[in-house]
Amino acid sequence: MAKKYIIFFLLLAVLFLIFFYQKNIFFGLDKINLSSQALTDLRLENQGLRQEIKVLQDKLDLKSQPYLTARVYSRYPFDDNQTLIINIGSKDGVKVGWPVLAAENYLLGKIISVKADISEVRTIFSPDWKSEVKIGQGNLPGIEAVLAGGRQPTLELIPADAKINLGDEVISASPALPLGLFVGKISEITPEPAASLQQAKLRTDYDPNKLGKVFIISGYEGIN
Amino acid sequence: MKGSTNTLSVFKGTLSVLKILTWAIFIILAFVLQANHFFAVRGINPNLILLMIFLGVILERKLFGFLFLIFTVILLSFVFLPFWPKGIFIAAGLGLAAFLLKKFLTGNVFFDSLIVIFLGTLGFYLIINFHYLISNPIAIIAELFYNMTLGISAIFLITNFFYEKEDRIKS
Repeated sequence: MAKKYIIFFLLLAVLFLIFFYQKNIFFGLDKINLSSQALTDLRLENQGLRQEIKVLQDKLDLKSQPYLTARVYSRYPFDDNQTLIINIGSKDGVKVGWPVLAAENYLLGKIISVKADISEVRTIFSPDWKSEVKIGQGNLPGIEAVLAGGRQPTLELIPADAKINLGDEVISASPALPLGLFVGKISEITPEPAASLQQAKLRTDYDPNKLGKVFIISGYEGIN
Repeated sequence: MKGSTNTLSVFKGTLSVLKILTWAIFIILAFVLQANHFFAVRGINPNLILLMIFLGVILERKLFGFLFLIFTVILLSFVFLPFWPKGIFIAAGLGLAAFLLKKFLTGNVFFDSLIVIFLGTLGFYLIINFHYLISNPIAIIAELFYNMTLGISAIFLITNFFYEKEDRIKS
């Protein structure tokens, strides 16, 4: 009988471990012990990033774009898709095809269906997502590729002779979306089966599973 | 079934109050955990609703009791996952098919669980999104492994705590 209780408590312990892992309670503790030098570095990096964002905002003039803010209140529960339900719909003027952002300038997806009070968003993490993007470093991204959605989105059809590097920025270049929305950065480069092509994995700075609020660029009319 | 010592202690009978309560708690828990992606590891989310239905396939002996379980799942899906009824109806349909065909299984609780969860998970994605099945084989394998691990753990827990003795479920 004791054996049964031990097994039961072991299973319970595993459950708690998964719960705390999800909440980053155990595994985030090491981050508290940052040295003062590391904190200074982070502050400097933060200032640099803020400046970079401001430059990009001025350049893209996205401040002038009207935004709608929406709350995420449900995510597709199974693994074969990554769509979200947000709490605004046709009553708020939402239309199919409008781009959805995770944060200002950060492309998350686009509206695929609208009802009176809710809308469905297909994200770049959905296996059904395909869109044109450009890759580059600095202010002149220029290598064209196709963004294929998935748990970790990938960049496909990159010419083998194109010089891409880890950390290169990826921006939207699809006529269905505003030009120049930040999509993510390259985290891994691999050759494609076809020798004349290469592909890369995309890293985003946010966790799509933890988004509570999204922004919709209203009034956008692209070519779908 | 060989005798009273081999019968279920909690799942005995068709619709005892305790049984209904137990299933209701497990199903609600499955919905809450599924909707919040609670068990997601590196983006792989186990299909707890499908697991719950297949546990019903294995543990329920009477068709009426199983239909009650399916009805509860569908009803609760309108509360917890109202935007994606397709997945729930597919899971319910697969569960019903598995229940009607379970007489062809081995009769061993553990083997049957593994077979039903394996075929059920594959069948689920085959129907709901065939493209996903062929384009993400690694994710499918990971979820199969995850579903089977959770399913077998749940069966182990139930047979150790709610059964007087491990027994064949096939009636």
